[in-house]
Amino acid sequence: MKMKKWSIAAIAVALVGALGMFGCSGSQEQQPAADTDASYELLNDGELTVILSPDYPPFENLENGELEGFEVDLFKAVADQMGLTYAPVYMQFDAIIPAIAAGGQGDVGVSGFSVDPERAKTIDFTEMFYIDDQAVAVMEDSSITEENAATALNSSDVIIAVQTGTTGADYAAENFPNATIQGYGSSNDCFAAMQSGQATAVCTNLAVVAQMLKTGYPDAHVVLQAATGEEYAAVVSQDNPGLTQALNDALQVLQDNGTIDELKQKWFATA
Amino acid sequence: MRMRAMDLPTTFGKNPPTAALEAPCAASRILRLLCVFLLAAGLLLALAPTSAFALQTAKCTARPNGDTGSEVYGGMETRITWEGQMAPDEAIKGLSITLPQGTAYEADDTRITLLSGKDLMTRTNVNAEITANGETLSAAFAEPTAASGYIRVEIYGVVFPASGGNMSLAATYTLADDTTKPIEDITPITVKGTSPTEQLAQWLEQQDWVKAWNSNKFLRLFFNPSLIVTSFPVVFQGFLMAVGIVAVAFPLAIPVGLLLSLMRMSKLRVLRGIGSVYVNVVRGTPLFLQIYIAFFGLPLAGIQIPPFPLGVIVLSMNSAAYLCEIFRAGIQSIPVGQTEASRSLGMNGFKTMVFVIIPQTILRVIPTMTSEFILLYKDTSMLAAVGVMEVVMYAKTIVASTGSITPYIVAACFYLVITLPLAKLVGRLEARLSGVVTPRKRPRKKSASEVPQVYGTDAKGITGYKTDILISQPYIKVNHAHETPAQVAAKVRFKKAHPDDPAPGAEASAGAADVGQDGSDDAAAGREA
Amino acid sequence: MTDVKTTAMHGAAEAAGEQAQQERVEAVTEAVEHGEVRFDAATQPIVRIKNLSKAFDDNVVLRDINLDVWRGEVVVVLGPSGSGKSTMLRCINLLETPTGGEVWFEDTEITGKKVDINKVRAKLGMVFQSFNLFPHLSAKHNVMLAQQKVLKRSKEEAERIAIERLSEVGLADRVDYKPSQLSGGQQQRVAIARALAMDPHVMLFDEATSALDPELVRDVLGVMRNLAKKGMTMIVVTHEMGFARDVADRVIFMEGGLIVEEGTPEQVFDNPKSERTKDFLGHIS
Repeated sequence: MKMKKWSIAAIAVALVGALGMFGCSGSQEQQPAADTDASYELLNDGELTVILSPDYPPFENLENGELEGFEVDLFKAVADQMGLTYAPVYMQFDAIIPAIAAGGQGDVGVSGFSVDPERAKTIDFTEMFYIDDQAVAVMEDSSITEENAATALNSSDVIIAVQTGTTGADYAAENFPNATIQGYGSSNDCFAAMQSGQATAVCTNLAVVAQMLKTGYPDAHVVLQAATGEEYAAVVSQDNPGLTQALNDALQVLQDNGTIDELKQKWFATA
Repeated sequence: MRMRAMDLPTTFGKNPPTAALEAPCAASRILRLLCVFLLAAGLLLALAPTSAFALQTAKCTARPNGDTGSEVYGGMETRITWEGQMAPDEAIKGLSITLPQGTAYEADDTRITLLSGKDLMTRTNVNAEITANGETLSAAFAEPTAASGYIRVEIYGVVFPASGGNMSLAATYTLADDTTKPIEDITPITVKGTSPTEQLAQWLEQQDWVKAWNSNKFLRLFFNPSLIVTSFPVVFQGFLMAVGIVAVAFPLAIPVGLLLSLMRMSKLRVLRGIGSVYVNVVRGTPLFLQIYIAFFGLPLAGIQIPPFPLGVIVLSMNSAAYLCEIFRAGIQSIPVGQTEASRSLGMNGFKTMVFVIIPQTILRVIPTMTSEFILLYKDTSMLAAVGVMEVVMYAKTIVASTGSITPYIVAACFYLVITLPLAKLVGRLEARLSGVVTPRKRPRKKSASEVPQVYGTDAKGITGYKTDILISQPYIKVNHAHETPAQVAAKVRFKKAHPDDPAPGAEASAGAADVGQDGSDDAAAGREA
Repeated sequence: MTDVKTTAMHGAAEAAGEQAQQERVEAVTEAVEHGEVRFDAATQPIVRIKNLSKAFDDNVVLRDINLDVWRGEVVVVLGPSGSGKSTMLRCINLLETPTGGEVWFEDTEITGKKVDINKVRAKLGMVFQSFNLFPHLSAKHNVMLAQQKVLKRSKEEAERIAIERLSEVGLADRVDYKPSQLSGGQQQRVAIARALAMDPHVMLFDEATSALDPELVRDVLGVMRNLAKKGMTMIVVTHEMGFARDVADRVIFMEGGLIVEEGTPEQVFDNPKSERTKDFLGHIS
């Protein structure tokens, strides 16, 4: 009995405290935003804290411990443009949107996010800076081929590995409703699962599939691709519209001066 | 553009009708067969191009909008994707799609794309003016498309009626010469009726108190009422999976752990070595790694095990290492006198273990074993990383699609449902084993009068002891100067039983014993001598 | 030292007038060693300890012990703490493995190879200072367990015998009690019943009353007394001088891992030969 009273009291205190904290910060943020769109808040002054999941080559991954990738270069350029230092924070992909929405972990999430109205309910998207498509890869020795992929993949004995929370997962569920869609934490794990036979196929963004095949899985190949035209954008807290605006401005500048095209050339052009 | 440059191996999709067939498609096999038929027809027509060939539907799907799985639900937002193959001689300048009665949508977000090139991987956005009129959405293209194109229409924010059912779409298209033709063969989209929880969630979302609640960011992210309602049944499936896993893994871990503990206490060096290497490696590496190795490594070594049994095996092998140490500590805590007594009766080592040591060990290790069970149950969450659909996995998918932490809170509740009662049980057991009986609401009738409490002094006559509840060994505790009822009873009984026994007398024996110990008493032996 | 011991031993043996028996023993032992004769309790000791030594690492506990125990004999072993008397007792059923010498039980050299020690132990009942009852079993089941598992008696038979033995030690009304519900004296009596239920040929008592409250010692000694009256062969390590004097057929005094005095209770208590024994007993009287 005593314990119950205590725990109720503890929860009540925690809730009141949380309400107070968040309530205050909410109202403080809204005021400057109303004054001028250009002002924004940063987690750390002078730094653009970017949350990303570095397991998504060629967009962002760790090569010999060095962070690299298209989105990494792009947001270094964006930070430069804004006069800020690029400060990366690593996080599992499916934790990034909640982290941006909750605040306190970073300013912007840049990890191959495609624009999606469902996500847009929780966070704001910047302007898109890249368009990608979906692809399905299988191992060389799979019975699924380019000829029969569309039908063969939609079978109850097929397991499609997807990265949880990605548009690839949605695509697989929509187009192969009979297959088992198995979620993993990263695209690396999806491929590892396929190679080890835990999954039949991997469905994820085309650029990622291409990179994976090139670097780690030469014995896998693409059997199906779909020009879904997903637009990649960065995610920003809805409480920080000024930052979205500033990022959009910076992206526009980089688009206009050709930096984005240069980076695309650097990261996606095949030899 | 990049897609083409990648030059992916392909042997098909060279001409548009084939491409239509190969386009991503979630339609049924019947539709596939139909397409094959149409392809044949198209080829025939290509040989003898005499008449116009209508715009054919390649696919028409809606994005699954449940929290998991491939179902499309009514009453919730989804996105319709329709794709069609134009006839070789038709150029289109407008489209009109009529959605089923009662369907809402966001006309402004509609996207129309032309797909072309190898594998249809080249996209061209169609500039169109979209107008919405009731359920009918019309698109007027800025300029007619080229003939025989492949066109995709994506309609966002579609909310089908909550009742669900087979949703048939009607559509027409307008050719460059302003003739309007119907688009045929649009397979209906199967929409599930909104589930009661979804209805409840939607009702909740309309409530003022919920809106007020959700206006606080913390509460919205962590305790969003409608998300609690919708994620509950989904995460529940994972709960069943997690319970299923531990329910099999833990009983499996017990004999393995026991075997390991016996190996670690074995006289044979080899067994001891194997046992301790196993236990130290397993306990010395993260479970996470063990799961990865088992799931991704074993299959490469040619061992193929489906996820559920593999998950069970990894967890039980891991838990066995911890149980081994629990059992070992338990067995070693049994006084050596127990083994000696058992062996002195002629029981061999095995019988001693099975009938004397292990039964006592089990009593002692139940609290720690229960704690280990709690740990194991929580560790099922690790299997989420390798695609086992347990609590965290389900919660994660919802978190990923909604960006709210609430499903994790729901998941936490599913852990607590098991762990809290067990923790309480552990507390009870520990209290009972340590001899402190937790007071019950009703005092039990059985009390000291029936169960003799054992107090007394030891041979030296200076300290009292109270017999441990588990071990028959007396241990020195506090000095009780008084005689307990049991002692008095013992005296009386003795006198009754031996009325004419000269009985060397307690004093005498005790005195002699004292002398034996410290030689400072002059009582018994002298008198008897 | 060895001289002192042998002299003491011989003295005791002569004084007891057991010269003839001694010779008989030697003859029979020789015959047994040559495999000529089966065990005969009339002519052979039931327990024979020959040149027994025991050391724990560098710590020598027993030095060249020789002792014969005859059927029906009650041998009480006295001596100060650390004299090796418990170790000697534990060597008899190999709870301690001797470092040298031989231990014979009836016609078996139990220190030899290929001996099924479990069979031997079943015939050597042992009672411990700390009772060592199985706490998870009731008194009755404590007594039943080894009967069923070692002697392969049926449950019914084991139960019948258990109740009989428990009644003999005065615990008929405690058969279903757990050890934790019994007093120390009661527990020790259960332990005696447990050993007796195996129909042992010899009972070993290792300071059976040392952990007991003086009030409770009497109960246990009473049981042991009755057992002796019934002719049970007993080797008793104890501090109970009264018991030794009343019940013992022979008293052995040990010191420093050696038997320094051996004889009837009268000889040892009233007319000790060794200075050390005198010293020890002197403290008492």
